[in-house]
Amino acid sequence: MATLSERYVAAVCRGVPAAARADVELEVAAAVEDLVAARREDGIEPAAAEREALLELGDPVRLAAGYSGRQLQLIGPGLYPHYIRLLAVLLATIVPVVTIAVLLGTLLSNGDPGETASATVLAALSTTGHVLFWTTAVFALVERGGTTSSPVDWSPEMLRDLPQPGPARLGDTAASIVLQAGTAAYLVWQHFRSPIHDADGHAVPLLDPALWTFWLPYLIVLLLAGAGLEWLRYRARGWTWSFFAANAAIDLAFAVPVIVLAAAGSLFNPAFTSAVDWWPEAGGPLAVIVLVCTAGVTLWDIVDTARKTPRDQRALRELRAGISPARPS
Amino acid sequence: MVVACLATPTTPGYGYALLDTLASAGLAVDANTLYPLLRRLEKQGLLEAQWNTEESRPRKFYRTSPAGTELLEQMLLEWQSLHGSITALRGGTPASPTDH
Repeated sequence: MATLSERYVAAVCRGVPAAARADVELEVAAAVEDLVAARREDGIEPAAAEREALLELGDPVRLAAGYSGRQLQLIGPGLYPHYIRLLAVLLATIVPVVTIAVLLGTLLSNGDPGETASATVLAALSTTGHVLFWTTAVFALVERGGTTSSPVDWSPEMLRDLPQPGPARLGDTAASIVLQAGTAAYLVWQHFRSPIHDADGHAVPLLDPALWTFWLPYLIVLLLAGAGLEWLRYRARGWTWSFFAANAAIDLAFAVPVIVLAAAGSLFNPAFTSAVDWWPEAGGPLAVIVLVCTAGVTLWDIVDTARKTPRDQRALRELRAGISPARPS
Repeated sequence: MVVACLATPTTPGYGYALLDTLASAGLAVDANTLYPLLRRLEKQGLLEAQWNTEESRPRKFYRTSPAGTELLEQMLLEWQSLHGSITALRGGTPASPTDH
């Protein structure tokens, strides 16, 4: 069996280009011998002296990198900002586009809700994996290609605008109120106007008319309450934690019944879905779309308000203290 | 680091002796930094190296080359101007190379 020193020298040589190998081998062997000899002179046992000497020289991969000038990082500081920026752009564009395409494609081709959901989640995960892997692989190759010049120079124009802190924006509030009141109005409207008519010429509502006994009025009340909350928040000049809690409660009180109704297949009017002759059995896929969208919108709204609340609170405090609007640090 | 490596072996020295000299001068250097650095300086022509096989073990002896000496002078000048700037910043008068 080879001694530790011999194995160490061989390990270093494996990491050095062939041309320099013979030379480096002699150098490292001489260095190890010198370090061992120095310890032997101090009266240390041969085995311990060898061990200590090798420990002082450290990881052979690191030493070999020192000899060959090879980097010990996948992506170095020169390319790192470009890597992160490109990755953010790719993840924010490719992943949603592919996910939505797969969602629609699976829905239209067979429409099985379980299969659609699993195919969509799988597509999102594998696309994320591919984007991460290939971007990293290309940057690692570029790093090893030895270009030291930056591919794109940074300029101040690339700086992103700051999110506006503090007092609620009228635009945001108006959009939110219009959306919620509009949805409430649509729930009523769809009962009387529909693209589908029965034999007597009466409109066939999209949603199950049986829901008018409780669920539809309940949802309309919640939507109007949500619109009212938006107005109160605007008057209070920003999100507070009590507004956040009320908003989250309304969101969940709305989303949970909708998701349950959609999953149970009792959201849509069977007379409507069976009458759509260009899309047979439209009920299942429609329910999945409503389910996914409701869950997505609710989750996003809660996350978004949770982010805005501390920001608005800070801005309001500073406003009250008479400090000019703060920059988020 | 480079200054120290170039300044030390004006007389031929080998790796371990250099490590020892630097350590006793108060510059503790890792062996795994020094050996590759010596080789790089040799490749750049700043150090001259020679294998000495007369002793019991073969050892590579390094000495500063004329190009290395030139670079050393230049780096020492930069070092001194840096030292002067820092001293001036701290409120003292810029130190001249002689008053150490």
